[in-house]
Amino acid sequence: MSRPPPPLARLSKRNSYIFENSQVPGIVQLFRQSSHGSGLVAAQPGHPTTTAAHSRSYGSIRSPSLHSPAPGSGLWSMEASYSGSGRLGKPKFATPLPFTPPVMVEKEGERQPLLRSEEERVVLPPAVAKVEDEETNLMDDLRKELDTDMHTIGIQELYDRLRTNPAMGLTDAQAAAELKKSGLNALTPPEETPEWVKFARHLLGGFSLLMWFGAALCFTAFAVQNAYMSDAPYDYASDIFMYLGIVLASVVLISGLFSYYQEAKSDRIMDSFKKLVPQTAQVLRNGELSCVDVTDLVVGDIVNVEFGNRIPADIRITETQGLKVDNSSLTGESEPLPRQALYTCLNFPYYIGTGRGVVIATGDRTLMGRIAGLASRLENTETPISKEMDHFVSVISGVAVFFGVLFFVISVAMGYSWLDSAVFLIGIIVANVPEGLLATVTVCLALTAKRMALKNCLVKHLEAVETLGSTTVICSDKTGTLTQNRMSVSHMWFNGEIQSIGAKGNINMDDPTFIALATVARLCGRARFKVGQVEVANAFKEIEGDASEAALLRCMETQIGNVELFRARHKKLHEIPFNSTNKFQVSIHQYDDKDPRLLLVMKGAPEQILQRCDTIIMNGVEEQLTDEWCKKFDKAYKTLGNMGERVLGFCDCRLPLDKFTSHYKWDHDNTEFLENNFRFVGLISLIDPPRESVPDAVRSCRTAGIKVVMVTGDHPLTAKAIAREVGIISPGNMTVDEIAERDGVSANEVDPREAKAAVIHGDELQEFTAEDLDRVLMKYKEIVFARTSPQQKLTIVEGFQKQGECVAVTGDGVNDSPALKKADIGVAMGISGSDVSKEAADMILLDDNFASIVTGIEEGRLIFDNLKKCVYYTLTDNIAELIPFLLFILLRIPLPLGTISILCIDLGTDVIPAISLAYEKGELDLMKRAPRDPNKDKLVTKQLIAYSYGQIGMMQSFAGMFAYFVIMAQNGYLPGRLLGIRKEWDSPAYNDLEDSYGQEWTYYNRKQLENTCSTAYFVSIVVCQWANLIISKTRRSSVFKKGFGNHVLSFAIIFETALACILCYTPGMATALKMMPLKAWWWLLAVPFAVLIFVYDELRRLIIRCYPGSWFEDEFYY
Amino acid sequence: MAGGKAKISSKSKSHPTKGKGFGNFIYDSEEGTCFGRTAASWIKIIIFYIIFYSCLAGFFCLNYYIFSKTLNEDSPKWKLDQSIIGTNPGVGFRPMPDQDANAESTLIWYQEGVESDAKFWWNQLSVMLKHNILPEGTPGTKICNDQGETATDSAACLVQYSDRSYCTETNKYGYQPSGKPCVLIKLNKIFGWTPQPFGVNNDDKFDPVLLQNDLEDKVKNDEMPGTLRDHIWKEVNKSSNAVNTLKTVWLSCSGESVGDKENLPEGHITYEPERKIPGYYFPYKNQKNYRSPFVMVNFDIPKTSRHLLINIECRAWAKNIKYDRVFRLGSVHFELMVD
Repeated sequence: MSRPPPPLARLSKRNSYIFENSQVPGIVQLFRQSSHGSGLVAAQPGHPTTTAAHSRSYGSIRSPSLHSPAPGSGLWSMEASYSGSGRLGKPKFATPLPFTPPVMVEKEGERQPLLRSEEERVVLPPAVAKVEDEETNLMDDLRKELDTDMHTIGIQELYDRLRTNPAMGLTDAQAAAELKKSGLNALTPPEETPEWVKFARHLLGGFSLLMWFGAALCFTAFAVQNAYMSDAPYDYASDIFMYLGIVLASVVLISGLFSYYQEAKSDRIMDSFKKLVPQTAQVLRNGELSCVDVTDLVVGDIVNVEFGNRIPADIRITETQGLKVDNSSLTGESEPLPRQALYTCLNFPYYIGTGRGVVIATGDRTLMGRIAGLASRLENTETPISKEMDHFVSVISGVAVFFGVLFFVISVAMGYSWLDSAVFLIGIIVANVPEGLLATVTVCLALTAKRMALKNCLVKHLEAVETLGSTTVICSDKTGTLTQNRMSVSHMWFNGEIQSIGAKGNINMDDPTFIALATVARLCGRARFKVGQVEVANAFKEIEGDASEAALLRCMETQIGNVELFRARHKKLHEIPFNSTNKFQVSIHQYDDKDPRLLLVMKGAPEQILQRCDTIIMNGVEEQLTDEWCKKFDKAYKTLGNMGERVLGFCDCRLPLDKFTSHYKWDHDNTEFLENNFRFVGLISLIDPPRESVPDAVRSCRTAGIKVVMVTGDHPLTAKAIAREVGIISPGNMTVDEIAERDGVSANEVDPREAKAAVIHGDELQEFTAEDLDRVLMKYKEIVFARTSPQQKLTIVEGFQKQGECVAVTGDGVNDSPALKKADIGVAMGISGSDVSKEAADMILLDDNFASIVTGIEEGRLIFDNLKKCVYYTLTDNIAELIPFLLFILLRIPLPLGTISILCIDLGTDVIPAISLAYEKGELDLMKRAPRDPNKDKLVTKQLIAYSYGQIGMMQSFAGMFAYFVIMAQNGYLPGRLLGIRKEWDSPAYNDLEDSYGQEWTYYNRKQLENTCSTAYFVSIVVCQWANLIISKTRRSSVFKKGFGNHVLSFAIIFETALACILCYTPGMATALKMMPLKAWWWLLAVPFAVLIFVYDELRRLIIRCYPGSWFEDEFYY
Repeated sequence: MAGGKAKISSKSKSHPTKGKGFGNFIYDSEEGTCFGRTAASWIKIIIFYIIFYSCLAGFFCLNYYIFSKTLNEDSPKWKLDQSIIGTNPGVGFRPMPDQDANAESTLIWYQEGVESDAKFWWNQLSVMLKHNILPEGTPGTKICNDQGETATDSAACLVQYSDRSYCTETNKYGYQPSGKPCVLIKLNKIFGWTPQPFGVNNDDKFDPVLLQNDLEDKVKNDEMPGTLRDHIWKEVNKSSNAVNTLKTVWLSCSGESVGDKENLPEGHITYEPERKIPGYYFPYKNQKNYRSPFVMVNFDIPKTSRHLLINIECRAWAKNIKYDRVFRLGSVHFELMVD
């Protein structure tokens, strides 16, 4: 309240109308059918009802010149008020509008936060155009539509223009014609990529191109061999090409299908969100009320809106009985608002009252449609993990192509034929590409997504699973995300003291003042519990009535209980409900005590109440309301207001018996009972309280090195109060204004460096240049943006992204959706979230709880770590698959590991163990380290490649080659004999190739031997991968410290082994996969190497732990 | 407005670490790095890997050395059924086409009368014979016969081949000038393998009924040529020691398909010195100076079959030789073409 007004110059520059006020009697109705049925009259254009402002500019109406507000237009009246500060103020400067004396408004006890003007919101759509400059036509279009004066012109003129009639509605023919012209009243769904395009992407993404190339080479080799060597009758080799080509192609197809299926599956989950029960609306057509599908509504339709319905389109309300609408989705306000003209309400449930209105815009042309359109036109940002995967794929593909080309050249130079060289190329590609890895990663992500879904984080795109882990900034909406989106009583002021209301028990129930206050609070209210909730705890009972009254009722029920009974005992004789002129609510009861006088109870805006009071109750004693008391009142009121709370005043009085008895004839027009002097009993303040778990969650985010920023459309004071409460602004940090207040200087004099926190108003933001924004975002650690428009939310997100931050945005409203879409990860609320926001988001918090984000962050970081392990594990045997080929080419020995065996490893035995790493627990405390630096902490680092390829991979290669040489030697081919034997070995023409012992081997026998060796090599890799899997569990600590709690991993080892056995020993595998049964002890050949791998890696980790920051860690810590 | 600007600038955002270009990666003069490493760093890492790989290779060699202690110099670790070579010997043929020019080719193809062409083929046979036929008295050898002189662990049977045969160097092995090429057929050596004779019962006695059954079985199930059956009976009948005569590996060569058989009737195929590899050569025990016994098969290509490619399959016959054409078990395939 002590905020300095903004410099006039600035305001006037903006062509704004400032009402220094906040006591807007919200309820001004534009067109209210008079109760006497005399037709529509423009209700008091309520604009100037906007009165005292307690802050600098949120009362301002930023209006672009293209629509200057028409004086007298009802539009302005829709400014709702923020009554929390209730100080009366004078207009800062003359407004062109007639100014009526400020009236305290307390409409049905409801808080009416100061809205940004409708005008401001209407301005939004040009921002849409801004974002896509290329679409100038669209922009023009949008602008044109913006010029709408549908809300301001006379109602009759509106009817004329829409060629409709309030009594008859449209005719069917008109409606049909209009429907044909403007289409269904539904948001155009975002453009769907055709299914085949999606599928094609999966077939061509990642390693697929390389694999296709390999398959093509196979088929070419097959064709060439068939064409030129058809004289060879049993063309053993060329069949292999055909076979291999088919296998490669099927691998690509199957993994493509798999990831397509995964994507389709997560898409389907989303589709379930989209399918809302078809809504109907009551429409007046041909003079009759009929139920029509919401989608069939057209402009000009006269619709009835009732309790519980959703507003079907942008409508201008023409009649209303206490209609209030929840516009929080558009504005971020917590509360339902009394409404006249409604913008965009396709999906907003509206709360109480009934009304009738005329449709002025449908479908995409509604305000919500525009924001949704803005959101859907934003490009999806690439997720960090997909960047990582792209990087990884390009690195591995690069390595594959490098090796492939290198050895192609070498083999040609060594005198191999082109065909042979091409075969080598295929082999090298197959060996180098981790065929199963992308599918494995998909599964890992899906597993995490599943796990997160159990913890109430639903992930729409699998890749978004990791994004939260990389997040460095969270821009959180306030209402419904940080707060409960439910008003509740937070403080009371009585006996001259502010009491905070928490759980039951911290208030002295016997305090006579409290009893008086509670009596008023209980009696003066219309809200009641919905029936049939006996079993439900008080806190969760559903209440019929507006938010503030509900809050009071809930509070009273919790603190004292039996409110309904109490009300029944003290029979209500008369009441004046809240309305726009009175701004208070009164009810008169036959109070059931010794005193026969009737009890009048009243609540309303504190100033209004105080004005009427002469006395004040203090510790049960009635005292004169002195100036001193007024000061105390002011102070308390200010304090509560500063906390962003909405304050209600309460008073009562005993009506004189001589005049008012229970037989008194109460009359609505007779308010003589208000002439009495009232007794002030106290203040009760309400706030939409933060969710309980939020402060902890914010703290967790902080420790995890994540900046939490609040971006809300709500009022700055409320925003700041909530920010303080949840820890977005930490206790020690002050804003510039607060410092100024503390030091008693003006804000300009404060050293800005002193302030660590900032509350930035949307209007300020509007003035910012991009550099200003950068500076602010960089300078303040704790920022709250209040009164922001959807477009500004977007700007803020982009501002952070420009600084290289990975931004998460949480929000539930339509107004959040552009920011949600633009964010690296948009998090929408599952319960309260609008469909548009869910559509734009990447993740949905099913329980609307901000704390679930922490889970998401943890899971995201964990999956990144685990994916790293998974990639490391899978890449390791790549080199063990490659080396045989190199030796085959360079030493001309029989091929130690066949291509099919490679595929068996990559797509068979490796898959489950790699996936099991996704179940690993975090190594270090994930939530205590800073978010990863996307430029440095890559998924695949050069250390990872060097270690897996250069060291462990080489050990596996040696293990495999050892098995190969042993089996060759035992069967007769000593290593010396093998060198250079390749050509005869692989030629079916040689049916009698001699070994080291003079035995002569047929081609068939040789191939069996070769396949046996290949199988042994395969088994050796499997055995080494046991050790490798165990060492993959941890990157730094000892395996023994980490423990073996991952049962999936243990199972994976068994599974891998079982699979290898099946591949080895199943009859028929010799022909199908060229796998031969092995002697049992051949399995042991790799064991020394597996032990070596385990010991070596333990040693490596020991050195890394002992010498942090050493050269060794630099080189070998991946 | 701000939004638009922000978007544009966010696109043009540059990473300080990137944008240096590949050229700078190869050699960065500022940092003195080559491929991302300074000279000192390169030396360190290279030394590390030299040590690492030396140790790894050492570990490998140690393992192999320990393993090699389990091997025997003279005989393979696994024999016969325990080894992958199994108990089913294959069949080899000579001469072979030039594998450098025609990999995997088994076509014996020459132009009649062109000396250089023919010489390529018969020269191989000549070399082979010189290698395989050792002079009498070569240490570790002995002369074996049907009468019971068989190979022992220390002494191998000498391969005997009569100079009076047709397939000799004198006749240029039939390649020059006539179109009657000889092809050497031999059985693969398998350590410890001996043929199981037809018609010899468990008591090592000749059993005509058994022989009858064995041969009919082979004729029926394995397409044993009738001529071979008759030949075996003839040999048995004229032999004094039927058991030793039967302890042998019989050979048959014929055109592979009906067409091939028409092009090369069976009567045009003759075997030298005998149509069998006598059993006394077995078992092969990696004796020093063991030489593969062989049979020369002479194909008298009819004039009408010149310029035709004839597929020929030669098969070895014994009770324990299984046959599979696709896998070339107990058989060998080659083609003949005389222009």
